[in-house]
Amino acid sequence: MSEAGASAVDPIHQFHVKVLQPLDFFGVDGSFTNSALFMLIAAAAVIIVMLIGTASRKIVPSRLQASAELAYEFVADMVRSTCGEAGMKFFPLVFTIFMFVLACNLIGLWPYTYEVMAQIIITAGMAFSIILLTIVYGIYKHGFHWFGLFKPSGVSPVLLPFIIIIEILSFISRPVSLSVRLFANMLAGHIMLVVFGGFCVMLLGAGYAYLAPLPLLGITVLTAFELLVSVLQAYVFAVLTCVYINDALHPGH
Amino acid sequence: MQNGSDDDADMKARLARLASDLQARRDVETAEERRRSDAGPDKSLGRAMSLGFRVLTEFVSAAVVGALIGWLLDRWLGTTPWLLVLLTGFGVAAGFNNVYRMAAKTPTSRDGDPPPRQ
Repeated sequence: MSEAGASAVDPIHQFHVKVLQPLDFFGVDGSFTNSALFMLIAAAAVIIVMLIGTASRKIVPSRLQASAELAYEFVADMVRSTCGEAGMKFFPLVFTIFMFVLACNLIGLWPYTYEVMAQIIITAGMAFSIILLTIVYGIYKHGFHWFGLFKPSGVSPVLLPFIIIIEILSFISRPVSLSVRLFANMLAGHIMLVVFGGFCVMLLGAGYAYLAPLPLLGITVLTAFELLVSVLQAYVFAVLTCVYINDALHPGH
Repeated sequence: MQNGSDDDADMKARLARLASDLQARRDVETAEERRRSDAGPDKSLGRAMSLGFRVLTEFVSAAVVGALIGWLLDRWLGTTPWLLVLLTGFGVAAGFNNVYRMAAKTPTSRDGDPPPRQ
């Protein structure tokens, strides 16, 4: 995951954004970086799996077709159960988000790759776009009534101003918690993997070679755990997107 | 109406059959649920950690957002530090509200996915 030598024990090194191809758009730095490269790879992987998976449409599906169908069914169920049938118009968005995050996380688990979702600007960009979308769509669909989201019914008028402030704050905190959760999970997991790898190298270097397999065993367990966390976090991100879209579709508690 | 008692017996037999069918169905469902619930310590640990992390981020982000907005308003209005104090308090309240809503929405499921609202 990082070069041998001193940087092997530097767990942050793996997250450095390296410029692969400097590009400059009228004074705006739009360089092609390793982060952009792995985003492209993830998007391409999703597109290839879905295109090849849905190409043949056999009654007895091949493995790729079965996984494509499974992904579709899974996300469609999630959208239907969270936002109802009206939410299916957002299915393409939720499916894209889920598959992109999942592909980025799974590709990032391979050695010598780059974990895109461990950059908070990426997750924050996605989370704030989602919240902006729900605000714009909520106002477009319900007009001024959408702001009733911030006014729970059955609250005494004395408390109402405080409750409204609290509701607004908790609404603003949504994109923050959405982005921080995904980012922190991926960052912590990948740092942990490199730290354990560093233990292994350090034990070998210090002459305790008989102890070195212990952290190696730890890495094996952690990698399995990271696989689970990757899928789970992609799922949580997509489910919460659905919940927020549901608030835009049906405001009012 | 000489077959009235016949009808009664028929009905009783059908009810008994329905009850036993329902019981069988329920048994299958509970067995499935039990199988799902002990899907391995690794998986349930991951789910529990994910849920715990959700609670943490929901709470902390609300408090931080409140404090940040208070700090910015203070800087613009020159009321340091009163709005910061006030809005941090509101932020913490909003965090509790977030966590409460999460907990209230998912009484049975442990894996952090909320059931449909309404």
